[in-house]
Amino acid sequence: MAELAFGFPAAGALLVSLFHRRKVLAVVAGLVFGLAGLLATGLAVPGRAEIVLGLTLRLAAPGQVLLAATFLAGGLAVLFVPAGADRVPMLASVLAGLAAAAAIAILSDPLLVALVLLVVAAVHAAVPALRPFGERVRAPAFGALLILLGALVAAGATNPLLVRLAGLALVLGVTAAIGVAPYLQTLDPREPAPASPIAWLGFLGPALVVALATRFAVLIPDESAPGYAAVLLGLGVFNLGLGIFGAWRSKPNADLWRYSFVGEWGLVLAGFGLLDPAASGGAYLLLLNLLLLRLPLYLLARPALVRASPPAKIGPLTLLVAAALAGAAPFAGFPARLLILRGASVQAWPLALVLVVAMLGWLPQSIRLAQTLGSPAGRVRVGLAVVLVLNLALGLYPNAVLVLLGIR
Amino acid sequence: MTAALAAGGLAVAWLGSSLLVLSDARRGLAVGLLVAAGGLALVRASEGELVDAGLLLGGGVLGAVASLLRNRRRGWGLLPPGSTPRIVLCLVAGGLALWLATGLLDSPGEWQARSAAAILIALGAGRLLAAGDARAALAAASLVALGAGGLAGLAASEATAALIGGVAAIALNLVPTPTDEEAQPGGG
Repeated sequence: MAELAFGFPAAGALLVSLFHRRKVLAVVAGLVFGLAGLLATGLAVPGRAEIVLGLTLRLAAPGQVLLAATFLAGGLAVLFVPAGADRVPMLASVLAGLAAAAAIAILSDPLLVALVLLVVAAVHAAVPALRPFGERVRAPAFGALLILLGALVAAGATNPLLVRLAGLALVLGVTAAIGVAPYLQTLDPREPAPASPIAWLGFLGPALVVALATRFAVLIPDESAPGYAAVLLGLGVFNLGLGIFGAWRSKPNADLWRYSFVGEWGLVLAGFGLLDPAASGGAYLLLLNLLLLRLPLYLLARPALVRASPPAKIGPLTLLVAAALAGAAPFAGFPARLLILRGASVQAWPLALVLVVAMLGWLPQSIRLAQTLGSPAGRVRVGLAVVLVLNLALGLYPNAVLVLLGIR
Repeated sequence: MTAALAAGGLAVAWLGSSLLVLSDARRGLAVGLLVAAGGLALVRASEGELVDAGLLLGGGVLGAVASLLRNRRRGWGLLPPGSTPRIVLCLVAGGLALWLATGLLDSPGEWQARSAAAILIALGAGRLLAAGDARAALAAASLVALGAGGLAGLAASEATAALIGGVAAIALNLVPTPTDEEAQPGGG
């Protein structure tokens, strides 16, 4: 069943591209194949290895939940296409991205994951955009190459020192592909969302980091686990700090959104780096938050960012959106942050203090972020309502998700 | 005999990868890809893995054809002015890849195939990260894809990994790039 989670969206992307002139047919085909992919993801037995054409495929429980959330996020992205814009190119891009995320989630061999990543990097960089091909392909391709090196060294190195570097290469590879610091890319809201760095930061990144936590980490020998954790924690704190600092320095524009993604990724990396089940649960919840809150909100804010609309006045809706973005109770970010703090207080309490300061630092910035949505009306207002209700449900019942993730 | 074939394949893989690194135009890139894939396939064939060899060679041939058809920069574009860093890259990256595959790794597979794949990856990676031209970057990425597919094939019992590597090499060269329209005919 896991292979169908890849097959359906891949076939859907091909069909949508073929029928792109017949818009209704393309949209119907895309939706049918996307839903079929979501169904296949839901029906796959988590953790069970399947051999398909000699390839070992396995969808771990966190991978399954995150992949299902990626499908939902893709659906929201198609739904929230700005008024007057063509939905078909977005649908094709989303389906291709879903196929890539599914391949990353189900392939057991990290060499093949790196290969998929390389192809995705090239295809993504070839989508017409404002930045040149070379600039866009470099970070994800470098990430794929580092994963390749890390997987090779972890599996076959004879030198103990080299084995220790495997974890470093794998973590740096994944972070390079995602596009967090030190591999940040510029974000221009005029660039179509599928061609922008948001495609990595907000759409493909979660599947990649889950692959790191569930499959790549298993390859690393026990003696190099502290190094692996240290790199994750270091990158996490660095991104968290950079996110806060960058946000304070940014005007309320796309840059502020970019730093908000970076800051959230910092928390995710720190959560995984703590090597604590509670913190990992929090990191997974934050990944769901990235997919189902931050990404759709950025897409909803994009038209206002392109128009360079003045920040909206602070009203009840702005405050609600800001609360959700800041991770205030009862939204999903709250239990996620709480779990990471619990893990940090057990494993490394000074880190918990740093995390609390960073989390509080995001409160005013979240209000500024929410203001970038402008004065929501029509489909933007409906989109906001859908996203907030979804996030509220996730925040009120995090245990159900944690059970699905296999954390509780 | 098989050892000589494998050693020959290794040399051919390095030669083809170097040709790709040192070229800027379509003929040089395509022939480089083809020769490198041929070298890797020769090493695999010398180990008796004919299906893997066929798939990698097929990926290289079709990838080279796709590269020829997609790239508008005519000629070989071999050793353009300022190529010294690339020559150094061919020697250093090739040597480092050989050292990594033989001295630091003991799996997957035999050292000759491991070395050939590592050379393709190392030289392809160098060109990919340095290239400004999209078509050259894609040809270099397909070199990496063939190498990665070859390595994954060494660890697996089935030929699917090599097939994925071959398909990826073809797909990468089929990717349309914005520079397809902008590129000016020229080159050496």
